Amino acid sequence: MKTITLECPDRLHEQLSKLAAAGWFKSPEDAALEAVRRYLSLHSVELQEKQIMADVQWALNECR
Amino acid sequence: MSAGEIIAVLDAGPLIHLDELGSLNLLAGYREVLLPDVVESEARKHRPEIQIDSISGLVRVTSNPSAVESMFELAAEFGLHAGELAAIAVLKEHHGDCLLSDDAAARAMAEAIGFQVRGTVGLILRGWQRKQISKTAAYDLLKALPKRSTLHLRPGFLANVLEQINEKTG
Repeated sequence: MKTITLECPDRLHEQLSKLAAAGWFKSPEDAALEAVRRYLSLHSVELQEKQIMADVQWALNECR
Repeated sequence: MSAGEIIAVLDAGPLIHLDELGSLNLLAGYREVLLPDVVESEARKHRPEIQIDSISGLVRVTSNPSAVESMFELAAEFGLHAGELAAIAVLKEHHGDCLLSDDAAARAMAEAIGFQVRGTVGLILRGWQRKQISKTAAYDLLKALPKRSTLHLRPGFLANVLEQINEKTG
């Protein structure tokens, strides 16, 4: 486990705090960690390759 | 729905990558190809000499700030940038059918809200299936992607794609 220290813009911190206050996360830091997880899952090489392979299948099977 | 009835919206990725390959003609065959102003600016930053006017069926669209704003929350969830967000907003506002994008997050969001999505690889293969280019030419363009374009693909993955095409088409 590593520790990252970062400066968070006020508006963003406010949104993270709201999520924590609403009970979705233990703290704004936990909410930020989840946001990073979700960002990485949507920008992964695996996802990109899966989407390209879907394009290939579409082109070979459906596109005319 | 046949290709000629489809309204497509361009994101910067396929626009830049097809221009790098000298293959913007592969965007032909859609009823309209909508290009949001934000996406055009982004593409011109990377490719100042890009031949956008050569695209068949091109319609330039000014992004509507309120349409973009209405999608901020969802876009934030998917981690989208301005160009991608503008493209999806145009897709919704102009009743488009298909997003043309290579961005994984933009593709995921467009699919999640019910749109078709194709990227540069799909557009190259579509060109072959529509008989705009030969199978050899499509194959050569795919092989050229890592060297002649800024679309990054793992060599092993590209080999897998080429193998799939060979398996299916001999």
